Formats: sequence, structure tokens, C-alpha cells
Amino acid sequence: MTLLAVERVSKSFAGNRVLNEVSFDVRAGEVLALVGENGAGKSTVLGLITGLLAPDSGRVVYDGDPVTSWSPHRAREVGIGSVHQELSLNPHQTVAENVFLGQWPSRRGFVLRRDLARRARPLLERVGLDVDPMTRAGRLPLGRQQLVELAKALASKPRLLILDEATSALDDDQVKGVFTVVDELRAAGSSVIIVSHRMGELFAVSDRLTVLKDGEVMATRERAETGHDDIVHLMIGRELSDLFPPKAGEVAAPVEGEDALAIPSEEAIASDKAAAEETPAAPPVPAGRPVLSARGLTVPGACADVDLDLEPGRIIGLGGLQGQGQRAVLRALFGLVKHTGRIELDGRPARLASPREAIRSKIAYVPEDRKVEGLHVAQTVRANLSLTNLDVVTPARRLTTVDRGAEARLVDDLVERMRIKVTGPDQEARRLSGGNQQKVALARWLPSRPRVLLLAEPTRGIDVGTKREIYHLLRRLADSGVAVLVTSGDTMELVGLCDEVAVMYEGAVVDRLAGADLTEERLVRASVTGTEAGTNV
Amino acid sequence: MNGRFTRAVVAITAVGALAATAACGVDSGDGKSDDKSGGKAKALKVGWSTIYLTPSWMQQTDKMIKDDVAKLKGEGKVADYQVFNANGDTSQQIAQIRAMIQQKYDVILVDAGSSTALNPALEQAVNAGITVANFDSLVTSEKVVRVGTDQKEWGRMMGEWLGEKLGGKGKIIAFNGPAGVAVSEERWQGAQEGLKKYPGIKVAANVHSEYNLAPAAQAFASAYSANPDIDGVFSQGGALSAAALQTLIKQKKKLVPITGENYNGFLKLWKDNKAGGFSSLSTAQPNYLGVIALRAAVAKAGGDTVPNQITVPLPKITDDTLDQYVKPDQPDDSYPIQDLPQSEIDKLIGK
Amino acid sequence: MSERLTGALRGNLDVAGLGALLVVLLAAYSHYDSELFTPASITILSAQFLPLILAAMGQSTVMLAGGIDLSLGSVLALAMAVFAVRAEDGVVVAGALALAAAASTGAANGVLVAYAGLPPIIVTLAASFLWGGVTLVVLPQPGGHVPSGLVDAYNNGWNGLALPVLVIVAVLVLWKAVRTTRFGLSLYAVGGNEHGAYASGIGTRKVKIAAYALAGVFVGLAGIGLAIQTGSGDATIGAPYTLNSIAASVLAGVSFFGGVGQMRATVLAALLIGLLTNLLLFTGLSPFYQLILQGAVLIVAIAVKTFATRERTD
Repeated sequence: MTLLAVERVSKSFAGNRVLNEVSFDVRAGEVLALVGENGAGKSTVLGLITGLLAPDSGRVVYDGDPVTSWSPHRAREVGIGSVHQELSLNPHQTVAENVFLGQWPSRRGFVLRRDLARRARPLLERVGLDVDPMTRAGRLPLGRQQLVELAKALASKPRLLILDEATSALDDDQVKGVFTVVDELRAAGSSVIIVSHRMGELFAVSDRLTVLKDGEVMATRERAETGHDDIVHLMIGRELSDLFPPKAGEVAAPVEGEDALAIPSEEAIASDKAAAEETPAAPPVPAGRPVLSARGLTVPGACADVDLDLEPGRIIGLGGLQGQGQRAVLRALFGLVKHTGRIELDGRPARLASPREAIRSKIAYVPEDRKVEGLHVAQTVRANLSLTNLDVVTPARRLTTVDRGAEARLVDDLVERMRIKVTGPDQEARRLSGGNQQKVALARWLPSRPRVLLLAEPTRGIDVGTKREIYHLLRRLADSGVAVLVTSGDTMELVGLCDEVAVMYEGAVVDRLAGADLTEERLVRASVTGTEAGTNV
Repeated sequence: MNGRFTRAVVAITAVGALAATAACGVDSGDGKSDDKSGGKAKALKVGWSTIYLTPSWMQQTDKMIKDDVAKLKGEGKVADYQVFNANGDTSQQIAQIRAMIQQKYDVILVDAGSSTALNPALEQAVNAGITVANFDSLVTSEKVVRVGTDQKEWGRMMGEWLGEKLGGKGKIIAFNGPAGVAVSEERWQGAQEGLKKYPGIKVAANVHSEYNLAPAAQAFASAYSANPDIDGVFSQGGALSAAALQTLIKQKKKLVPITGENYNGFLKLWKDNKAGGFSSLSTAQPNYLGVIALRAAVAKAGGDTVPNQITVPLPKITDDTLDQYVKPDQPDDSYPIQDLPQSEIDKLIGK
Repeated sequence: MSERLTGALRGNLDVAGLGALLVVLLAAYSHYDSELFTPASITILSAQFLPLILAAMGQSTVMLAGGIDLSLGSVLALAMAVFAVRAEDGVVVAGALALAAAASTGAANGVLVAYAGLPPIIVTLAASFLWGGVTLVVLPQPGGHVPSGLVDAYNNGWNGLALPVLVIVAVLVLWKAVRTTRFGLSLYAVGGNEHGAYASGIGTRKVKIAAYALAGVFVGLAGIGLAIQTGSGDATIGAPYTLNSIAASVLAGVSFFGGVGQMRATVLAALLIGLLTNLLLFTGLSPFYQLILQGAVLIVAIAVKTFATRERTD
């Protein structure tokens, strides 16, 4: 019997189609795994099922009835419980209050704390959580909070339980506990939809797997009839195109339209008048001698013991599942977070305690969230570009006003060479498309001629054409002697762009792939298994 | 052990220290109040609670009362004087009155923030044997001594003067305060009564404005452009009068009679243009209301009989007496006034 | 050991700290006013502090739900005006009308906040003018008349009982009850994590509207108290309560971001602010220095409190 059917559902955000005619179903007493890369549309599908979102077209049928005017309240009433990666707990209330959040059992209208704690205890035991129900939820470590979420979902006695990366913060024993609960539910005739990046977990617990890619269902497979390789292939399922420039050491194959692309060379970008006199711009550093090397880089709670060598001319990628510590590595190297470990610049020990020091050491950082850290979105393109280059626009250095002429030359030059589409230099940054915002975020660093360029998710939310421009630009920067470090959740991007990819898993580098070993299959396998790809084949 | 506990201890200590500091502030202020009680009759402890202290009128009043308190201290009649500023908060003013009751003040002076809200507190003070004198902005309670001026009389006086000045014939603009404000309404009522005697006078326009120069100038200019042929202006506030006269001067029009108030800015303009034929009658809400209230309260506390309702006559500033009032060296935003002779004060408080 | 001990200490640090400060203030106060602890003094002082305490409770209610109410002073004046105008027809009817007026204006604020999608600070600022205007329509000039027997009983005690104290105790008990209803828990849940509450099936809009309405009830009671205290109504008297109620709530440790705070701490903090102002009146300092000192004490107290209760982030 089918409990839930998703029928030809489509959904767009701001004109961007996230789901395209997605159909699948969940049978009663079944565990269905939903698999796909980041951005494949899993979270959107789950949002539609739990009533957080409404579909543009198509419908969701639950228990034989088409679902209309869905809301989280309705979804919960009809027996859909869910645990999300993003916690919905109120950190200021007690565990017991959170377990029954929104549906507190009451006696004559009054919710009795002792009553609440008494009722919460068996649910907490069931998920293997040994905490005082009167503890404030915010005081628990993340993993335990996730288990409270599970207890909360179970409190409404769900017929359909959704686990969206619900085990991401749990240790092995806790995960086993969760699977015991899943088995119990299945035995009792309830259904479970599980989303996880850990392939092993999915195969351990699911009955069927539905693979999503780019907002479409690729296939649904019985667990017994499939394997890791099959699923990974379905997840990636696309060919490398001419999106990427040739790698370091490869001969540049003539690419059509390359000239028209007019990627700025480093000299051209450094619009300072002095730049013209200095040729070549950056003395080619002998390959193999790192500009920046890190040994035992550790950010408590985020990454541990990471070794990295950033060499001029090479693009290094940090791969792995989302949130495995990649971001912390970048932020540490830019002096944004406290870290330990040894860092050397040009072979000399260096301290990167603040972004100021990092910038002085010619390190540039283009963060993941352009709108918060990368740009001043409410300000103009001009202001964004000149703010990081005050040395250029105030020629006499400190205590002088901005030289409007120099500023205009700088801005015009960067806009033209980076092909930033703006109505004019006074357009506000927030009015630009994501791709153009990213170009501005990148362009503002170029005049200061960084030697190390750190980029987090450089192409997230950007159309393919702009992606291509950015890939080529990064390669040109590398060719001119910049050492580039990129994190990305897009495996194709890492494989296509990088000379070497360090795969991170739970804060540590578990594998390094380069040359012929750098393939999407191996990268994904290393990411999901958390081991060296070779050992698992 | 753990930093949180340490912080809690630190916090509690700090809170304690803070409170102790507050307490010390109290101690240092204490004890100086009753050091001067040596005379035959008991020297009085006087407090003034005012709804505002910052406007220049209040500052002048404060200074006048202080000067008089110095005199009374010399005579051994007043031991201590304290000002309480409610800063626009009527509830705060109630708290001040209650605090004065608890601190056993002998005399409470009040410039009220509300005509009704202070009544229970003031009556409680009276019941506790405290002499309460209220001046300027008055309350409705009849159990306290109230010292004020007659706002209707203000309007009537101005209306009658204007009617006579124009020979009972002509068009005027009435320039009043904000609609709905009690003082403005009362003055205008009085003016209408005064003008009744001169049926030949027509009110061409009735303009309302705040008692501030800038909005008043705008309001008057638009009314005047619609009625350029007026023969006079009934204005009921100093800033209003100054705005009207400025407009006439700027537009180089005939300087028709405009009634006014002892707002120094207006008085200066008047003086400058007196030779040009400008004429006015002005009056004032006199600052010595506070002094009269103080004298009345001191007398009453000393056992004398004092009327509960003291209406202070409005001073008259005419073309002839203008020079005694106007202060060319002082800012526009001041209210020059002549001191009231002690004999006049004694007469008002029934001595 | 100390997980539980420090937890309990921290949980009550606001109340404990405020209590300690209150004890010191009371000691200093009684040094001045030796009759402080007599029934008469307690009655008078509680009559004076009741409006601020109730207004602060209203403000705290809204802040717990993650909002703020800048129209509180106007709503307070409206309730006061309605009560004063109708008091002669019967105190009970007038009280009911005033409470209904305050609760419905509160609910209207809530509807605007919940549905307009605008920040509460803007919506309630606009609403403050709206309700201020309505109050002037009800009572254009100070007036109205509250039966003098009631005024006397309230200000000077009724058969030896301090009525305002009873009212505060009753309202605290009422709050305690509300706090343990589903609505009470929802209030904290919405304030603590609105998205999470919505995803858990809580009708967050309804909760917000109810929170503002409940705040309206508290503020309405404050307005009635003020009308009885002053024996009349005055449309302009409410304004200072807006900021004072916020100051009391913040001092009590109610978070601007919602979800955190205890009502008994709010009551203590409002009492503290009232006592502190009174105490400064005793010091004989010039009025301007009193203002400076009052501000300084508030800032220091809040800074110490924030420092002491800050979560560790490292």
C-alpha cells in the first residue's frame, strides 16, 4: 500500500527551477532513501512533504488524499514527523518542553512540568538518550540535540518519519540507536524517508533508494538490486564538458571563444600605473616551493591536524561532504578563527591571527556567503571595489581623501576586464546577479596582487556561463604565480578545476587525489566512506 | 572549577558594590537638611516639583524663586530648598510629591504636568499637614493654594485694546495657539468676549499654530497673503506676534497693530519699529507667580490666613512702558519681567 | 559536581542579583524613611509602583515572544482614559471596558506584527501615534472622575490591606498559570526559535497576536491603576512608560531576541527602578545630576548582568 506519493511535482525559486516533474512514492512499512548531490533538490522535496513549501505544479498524495493547503501544523496532525539537519529546538526551553514542542500534553489547560518530564523520559530512552528532561536543550552537545529532535518527532507517533541528515552529528553508537528506532517503526507498519550523505548508512537501513540529480529523479532502485557504484554513477551521471581550462603542466588546447572571453591577465588587473612598468608582474616562483604551508592545522571542533602545501601555479581543492571542516581551514588561513598548528610563508614561520595580518601577507579570501562576508551588498560596486584598494585610490596614502580619478580608473578597468555586468559603477551590489556579485567579490582583491587566493564555494548559485569564466580566470591567476585553494561541494568542479584535491572527513584529510586518480567516482567514494578511496575498492 | 561560577560570584559582588555606591550617594546627601533650625519660628523645608525645568521661562522662574529663598533664609524662615524636575513625566511628579511627603517637607510648590492627575497626591500632602501651593500650570483640586493668571482675561484685555485701537472698525487676523490646547482656547474665548463690544471688527481668518517661531511664520504668511488688507492682528503668544510682525516688515507692508507677549524677540522688534508707527499691547505669564506661591505658602505655614485662589493681575506692556521691559542685550528666547513690589505680593496673599 | 548547582544559580542569577540589589536599596531607603516597612508606606509605594510593574510585565510578555511594543504608553493612556471617563457609571463596567479596549488594541498590534511582516519596532511605533490619537478622542482634556472612595482605598489602604500589592500578587499568579498553559509554552517557543516553532506545527501568528493581547491586558491594568492612583484620566501621561517598561524588562534579563526571561525578575526590576528614582529624590542632588546618576546606574547594572549571564561562545 502506498502511504505517500509525490506526483510530477515542480518547484522554482526566483525563476531558478529546483525540481522538475519529480515523482516517487513511499509504501507503508518501508524505508526509502533519498540520494543526491548537494543542490539536487532533496531538501526542497522534503519541504514540500512537511508543508514548509508549496509546489508550483504537481501534487503530493498522502494516505490516498491529495494534499491541499499543507502546513507544518497539518502535516504533523496527519502523522508526519521530521528531523532536520537544521535544528528546530528552542535552546532556551527544557528538553521535555522541546520534545512536546507545540503539542504539550495538558491537564485542564495546564501543562505540568513534572508530567511533561515523566512523559518525555520513555521517548528519550527509546532514542538512547540519557539526559535529565529538565535540562535546557541549548546546553546539550549538538549530537544529543539531534536525538532530542528524533524524540520530538516520535512524540507525535508518526506514520511517516523523515530523517534529513539526522545522523550528521551523531557517533556510531548513536547512529545504531537511531537505526534501531527506524527498524521498530518499519516493523510497526510506519514508513521512513531517510536522507544522508553517508552511503553506508543508507544501504544499511533502507529498502529502496531514489536518486535525484539536478531536480529530477534519475532512478529508484531496490536495495538488493544495486550497489554503491551504481548509485554514485546515477548521482553524478554527467559528462565533463569544455567547462574547464587545462590544468597545470598540460598544454593549453585552443578553446573556441577563448580570446573573446578576455580573461584579465594579472598585470592588466593590477591597474596601478606602476603595474605597466613591472614586467613580468610576478616573478615565476619555482614550482614545488610552497608559498604557504600548514602543518597540523587545527581549529577546535572543526578541523584537526590538516597539512597543506599551497604552491604557486597550482589550484588545490578541499573536497568532501558538506561541513567536514573545509570552511574552517580557509577561515583559519585568513586569520578569521583561532587555530593552532604551524604555518609557514615562504619557508618562514608566520602567524595569521587576524584578517589584517593575512592581507598584509598577500592572502586573499573570497568567502562562501557573498552577501554577508564577501560584499557590502547595500553599497555600490564602486565602493566595493575601492574599499579593499584604498592604497591605490588614495595615492598619498593615509590622511588624504579618495582620488576620484584613480578610483574611477580602477573601477572601470576591473569592471571591463572582469566583464562585470553593471548599469554603472554606482549600481548597488545587491542588485547584481549572483555571478556578477561573485565577480565583484573576486575582483576587489586583484589590484592588491594576492599571492594566495582562498575561495569558498566560488560558483554556488551561479549560471554555467559565469562558472566557465570564473574557472578560466582562476587558472589564469594560477598561471601567473598565484597559489589557489578552493572548497566546493560540487565534485565535478573540483575534478575539473583542481590539480589536487584533499578530501576531508570529520575535520581530517582522509585522502589526496591528483592526476589520473582525480576522478568523480573516487572523490565521491572517499567523501562518503571517509577513507582513502583506494583501500575501499 | 569553572568560569561561569566565578562570573556569577563576580557579578553578585559587583551588583552589591554598585548598590552600596548608590547608598553612599544617599548618605552624603543626608544630614545637611536640618542644620539651620535655630530661629524662634521653625524654619521651613521647601520643595518645588516642576513638570519641566529646561525651558527658559522655567529657568527664569527657578532663578527668581532661588533669589527669594535666599532672602527668606536670611530671615530664618526657610531652612532648605530643593528642586525636583519631572522631565515631562507626570507619574514621576507624583513620585516626587510622595517623596516630599515622606521626607516631611513643610512646603510643596508645584508646577503641574496634569490638571487632574496630581490631585490625590497633593490632597494627601495637605492631609499630612503640608502647605501646598500650585502656580502657573494649575490643578483642579481646591484644597491647595493656586496662584495663576486669568487666561480669559488675557484674551479679553487684548481684544478690547485692539477694538479700541482700530476705532471699532476693520478686518483682523486671529492668531491662536494649537487647536484643542486649553490655554489657547481660553484666551480666544476671552478675546471674542472683548471684541463683542466692537461689532464693526471682522475676523478675516482664524489661524492656529504652535507657539514656535518657524511654524508660526509659515502659518501667518499664508493667512496674510489671502488677506493683505487687514487692519490688525489679535495674537495670543509672543512667538506668534514676532512671526506676524516679521512678516509685515519683510514684505514692507503697513505695520498694523499686533497684540503680544513679553517674549524678548517680539519686544525687540517692537522697539525697533515703534518709530515706524508700530503699536502693541503685550502682557505676560509673570515669572513671579513662583515667588508669590512661595510667599503665600510660607505665610500660610506660619499660621497666616491665605486665600486659596490667588489670581495675579496681568502686567501691561504698552508703547510707553516698553523700554522698561525690553532687553536688547538678551536672547530672543527670554521673558523680561519687572519684579513685583513686595507690597503688591503681600496684598495678593492677604497680608 | 557543579553542573546542576551552577545551572540552578545561573537560572536564577537574574532574580538573585536583582534581589540582592533590592535588599541594599531597601536598606538605604529605610535609612532615609524610617517608616518604610510600615503598612502605610508599603501601600503608598506599591500604589506608586504598580503601573510601572504592570507595564513592564506587558512589555516583557511581548519581548518574550520576540517582539517589542513601542505603543505601550499610548495603550496605557487609552485604558486610563476609558476607565476615567466611564468610572462614574460603575467601576466594574469601566474596568471591563478599559481592559477590553487595551486587550483589543494589543491584539490589533499583534495582527499588524504577525501579518504585515514588518519589524515590530516599526509597526508599534506607528501604532503608538494611532492609539495616542484615539485616546485624545476619548478624552481630549485631562478629566474624568474616579470615585474618591476607591482612590482613597487604593492609595491609603483598604481595611489595612495594600490593594496594589494584592493586585501584583494576583497578576503574578495569573502569569504563573498562563506560563503553564500550552499558550505559555508556545510563547517561549516562538520567541526562542520562531522557525523551529513553526516547523513543529505551532501557529506562530496566533501566538504572537495572543501575546500582544495578553500584554494589552497587563498594560490595561496598569492604566486602570494609574487612573485610580490619580483619580482621573490624562491622555499625555502614558508616554514615559514605554521606555521605562523596556528598561525594566532589559534589567530583568528579558532578551531582546525573545524566548529568555522570567516575569518575577521583571517585577523586581520595575520595583528597583521605581525605588532607585525615589531614592535619588532623597539625595538632594540637583535634578540634572539625578538623571545622570539614574542612567549610569542602569547601564552599570545591565552591563554587569550581561557579563555575568553571557553564554560561553569559545
